[in-house]
Order: sequence, then structure tokens, then C-alpha cells
Amino acid sequence: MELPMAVGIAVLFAAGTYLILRPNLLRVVMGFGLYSNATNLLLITVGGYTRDSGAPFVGADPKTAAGLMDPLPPDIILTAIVISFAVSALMLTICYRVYQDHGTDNPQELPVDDDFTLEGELVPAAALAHGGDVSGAAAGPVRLLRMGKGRQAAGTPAPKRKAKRR
Amino acid sequence: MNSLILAILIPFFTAMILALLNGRFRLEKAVAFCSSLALTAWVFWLLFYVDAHGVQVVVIGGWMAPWGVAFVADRLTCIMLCLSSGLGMLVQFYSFWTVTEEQQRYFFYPLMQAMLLGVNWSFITGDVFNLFVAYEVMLMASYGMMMVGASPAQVRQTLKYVAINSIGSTLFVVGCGVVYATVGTLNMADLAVRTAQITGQRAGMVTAASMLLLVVFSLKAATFPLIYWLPDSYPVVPPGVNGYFAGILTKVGVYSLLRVFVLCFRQEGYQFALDVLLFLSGLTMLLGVLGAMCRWDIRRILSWHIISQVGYMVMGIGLAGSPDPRVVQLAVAGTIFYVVHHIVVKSCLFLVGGIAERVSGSQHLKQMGGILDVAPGVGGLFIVAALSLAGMPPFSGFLSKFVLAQAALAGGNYVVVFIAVITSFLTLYSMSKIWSYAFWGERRNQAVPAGYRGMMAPTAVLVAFTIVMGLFAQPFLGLATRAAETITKPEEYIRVVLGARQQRLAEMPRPSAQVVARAEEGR
Repeated sequence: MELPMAVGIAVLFAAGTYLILRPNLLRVVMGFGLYSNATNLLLITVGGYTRDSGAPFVGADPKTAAGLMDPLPPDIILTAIVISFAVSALMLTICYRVYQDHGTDNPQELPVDDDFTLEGELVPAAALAHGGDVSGAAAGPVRLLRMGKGRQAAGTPAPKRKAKRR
Repeated sequence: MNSLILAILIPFFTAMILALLNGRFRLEKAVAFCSSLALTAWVFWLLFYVDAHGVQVVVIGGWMAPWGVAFVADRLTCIMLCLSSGLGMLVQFYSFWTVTEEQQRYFFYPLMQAMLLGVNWSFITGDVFNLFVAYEVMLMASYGMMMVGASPAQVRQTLKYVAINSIGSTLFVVGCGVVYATVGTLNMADLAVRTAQITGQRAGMVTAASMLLLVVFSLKAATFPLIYWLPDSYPVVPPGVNGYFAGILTKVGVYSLLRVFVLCFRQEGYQFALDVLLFLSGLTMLLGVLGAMCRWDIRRILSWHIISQVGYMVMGIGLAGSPDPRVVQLAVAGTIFYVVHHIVVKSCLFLVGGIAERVSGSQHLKQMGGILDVAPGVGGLFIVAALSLAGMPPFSGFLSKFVLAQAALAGGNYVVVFIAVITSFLTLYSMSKIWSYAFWGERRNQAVPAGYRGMMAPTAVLVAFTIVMGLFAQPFLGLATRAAETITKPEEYIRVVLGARQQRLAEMPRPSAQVVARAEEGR
């Protein structure tokens, strides 16, 4: 039973890795879904399950505990399922938020954060290294950062963002 | 010692109460601070109790270890609990001045308590899979904390942070499964007993399985080559809390490495994992400090320094692979001392960085300047923390580096000592860069800074701690040595957790070891 399971787990992990490396946020989330399924199958396999074995405690000899399936891996799987469910929900929310903010679901098109300030003012490192005037040089990235069109199109009002620090 | 579990119950219930109080800003602050104060007082009492009476254990639901989940408090656990709870309290106090009411609406204080819950839980648990659950609680809270305010920069950095940590979590579950398949247990004390009997080909399998956990913990601790997520994501955390992130969250990874690879895995050839860590530690130190040197954003500089400092701690863990038990003892004690020093100093620097940003109105070094003219006290706090980080006497940084270097020299690892000293010099360069650009020079921003004096109080507490720890090091070093003894000689730990069942357990076959047994029969 281990060999077909191992092959299936390997295929799932490979497909998950492929999806995570795609430049598309939704596929990344799907890749994590495949990862968690592959992990759960792996846990079933390490629990020592065979073709003719049932659920834990079913069919075991109550006196000698012969034929008892290990109940711990299913327990671990249940916990892992709950956690991966919560994390996927959170990731989907964040992906949608990134899409609203930037109007793209391609992580490679997102602005690169380097030596930036939290106010949304992207400071290009090159401009600062030669004098410190950032007002003109930062036009490109700042435009990307302040793009709120995606959110307005989706029907939700843009949140008020006050300056947090002075 | 059933009250052990209070270390996670107090933040748990406080988080729920605070979530209900959302919107009532003053009440929320008061409840959060009082709860943290009580928690801190209680864990300090626990530290003294455990130091005097030895390891304490509580099994959940009365299911005896290794079948039930055991919560264990030894000296190392208590030290970490004190640091995490105490720092959590100071950071919340600091946040009274930095977190606006609008940010507070994003469940700031409940998330802070949830993070305390996750961190304390991962310190106190005695089971590897339970450690995974604790990690997830901690990470979920940190995802929320990173997005407090939800600016676009925060959201897209959180996405990266969630993605890399999800990969880590997947590997963690896989690692748990494979370790369970090869050893037949996930309880830490039981792991230590059972792996000690494994030799030959089985030992190689156990080492291979443990390497999965090594990758996971290295990712959390930000060890080379898994470092690039950290300097991008930490700068978006709100000031104040980034001190907690910098101080505690990566150190949870270091703690797990120490706990699992020094205490749990004792099979034949277990030194392999520690040798890998020693090799990586040199690269981590050097790469971290080189990354810091070329940055101009104060938060980024400090974030890169976290990586380089993690290198020192991982070096101490790597030295525990030495065949000489005295070197192992010294290295582990040095690591624990370093963790204490690092948590205090690093979070202190982040807190000072937050004040410097407030005073100068920018976080970019070339736009700061002249802080000494308006707020000389801030400069005083910074210079002590910076010199301590670089390892200048008489502060705690010097002694912690000294103990680790001594252990490395005694073990004959001259190259890594050389790298450590070079890194220390470069750290000093990087700190003097912050000093000369942010604190000296002309003032760019003429606006009068307001409300930074309250932020100085928790920072001053941390600065005072690093001075005391440097000048009166003996009690701290003694505590670190006793804590190291509990880990390197785990007999007491095992006896308390497993009790009289220890011998019977060692001979008992485990159902899930069937796969391995069948594979061996087939061969």
C-alpha cells in the first residue's frame, strides 16, 4: 500500500510546488491546498495503514490490542485540516485585498519595497544615495502605490488613512 | 503544579475579553496592561519556583505522557516565558503612545494577547506536534498584527510572510509525521529516551527525518539560506510591536532548535544536524551584517541585524555537537545567555528606532539627523543598546559573545570565531552609521516632536536590564548554566515527564513503527 500512496503524495507535492511558483496569487493558494492534502495523505501512510485495515479501534482484539490501528495520525490530520482551512481562508482574503490595492493578481507586478516609508511614500534607494531629493524621482512607484481604483470598482469605500506618525 | 497552564490561560482569556471590548479604547488598554502585568509577575514567580524545585509538569486531561499532551516547565522554558511576557507588557505600554485609535480598531490589543498566548504555548509545550499548533496560533496572531492599519505595503508584505510560513507549516507537519513513523512518539521526553537507543541504519533515517524539522525551525529563526522573508516583512509591523517581533518571534525558532536538537534527538550520529547548523551560522552572521550595512532605512538595518544575531545563537547550538561534554555545556549556556541578551537589546533598539522616527519624522537615515539637539535622552538610550549589540564591554553583549567564543575555541572551531569577531566589528560600523546620520548632523524637520517621552520609559527599562546584565553577570550566567544542564543532561526532565513508566515505555512496540519494521523485514 505504501508505494501507490508514495507516488500519489509525490505527484500532489510536485503539482503544489508548480502552482506556488506560478505568477498568479489564486494559484498560489490552490498550491497550498494541494500541499495540505499531500501532507494528510502522508500522515495516513506513516500511520501504518494497509488495504485490509479499518479505522482505529475497529477490529482490534480488546485484550491483547493486536491489530489496533494507531489513532494518533488521524488526530494529527484533523488538527492539520482545521489549521490549513483557516490559513487558506486568510490567504484568500489577503490575495483579494492585494488585488483591490494594486489591480493585479501577479505578484511580480507588485511594487518592490526597498528603503520605503510606511506612509506609502516609496523612496527609491538610488535617488537617495545621490542627494536625498525624492519628490520627482519617485513618480513611477508612488503612482502604483496610490492606485485605489481597484477598490472603488469593487464597490467598497476606500478606508480613511490618516498619517499615523509625525 | 497545575497552575503551570496559567501562562497560556491568562493571555487566552484576556484576548477573548479584549475582542469583546473592541472600540472602548481606554478600557481595552487598561485591561491589556493589567493582564500582562499579572502574567509577568506570575511567570517570574514560576522562574524562581522552578529554579528551586526542579522541572514541573502538567498533563492535560489526566492522560499520562507520552499519550497525553504534557506541558513542561524547566529553567529554559521559564526564562523564555519571563522574557516573552515581560517584553509583551513593555511593548503594550509603549503602544499606548504609538498606536492610534484607528489602528486599535484592527483588534490590536487582542492580537497582542493572542501572540503572547502562542509564544508562551510554544515555550511550555512538551510535545512536538503541540509545538506545531502553538506555532500556528502565534503565526495567525502575527499575520493580523502585521496588517494593523492595512496599508497596501503592509498587505502585500503580509502575503509574502503568510506564504513562506505556510510552506514552513506544511514541512512541520510532514516532519512530525516522518519522525513519528521512524521513532514512534512525538513527546519530547519520550523522543529523548527512544532515540538514545537507535543505532545503525535506523539512526540515519531518524537523522534524515529530523532534518525536516531543522529546515522548519531554521525558517522561523531566519537562518541562512532562509532569511530573505524577514527584512521585507518586519519593517511594516507597527512601531513598538516590531520590537516584540524582532525580540521574540525569531527566537521561538532558536528555542525550538535548542529544545529539539539538543534535548530530543540523541540517536547515533545526531551531531550531523548540529554540524550543519554550525556551518550555516557563520554564513548567517556574515550575510546578515552585510545586508544591514548597505541599507538606509532604520527599520531595515535593524531587521538585517536580527539575522546576523541569530547566527551567533545558532552557532552556540551548533557547538553542542562537540564530543567534549564541557564544551557542550558551555556552548548551550552561552546560547541561553545570548538569547536573553539579544531579546532585551534587539527589542530595545527597535523601540529606540520608533522614538527616533517619531522625533525626526522619517525612518530614512538621510532624512533624519539632529536628534541629539532635541532629544539627547534618546541618544543616550540608543548608544547603550547599540554598543551592547556590537559587543562592547561592560554591557551584556560583550559577555554573551565572550562565552560563545570561549566555547568555540575550546571546541577547536577557529573559523567560526573569526567570522563572529568580524561580524561584531561590522555591527559596530553599522550602528555608528545610524548614530552619525540620525543623531548627529543638522535637523531636517523643524516640527516639534510630541509624546515621545512616554515611549522612553519601557525603553529605559530594557537599557537598564542590559547594563545590569553586563555588570552583574554572575547570577544570570549561573541561571543559564543550570538551564543548560537540564537540557544537556536530560535525566531529570525525562524522569519528571515520564516517571516510572520510562522503562516500560522504552520496550513497548509502537503501532506506527510498523511501516519501518516492515521495510526492514523486506530488506
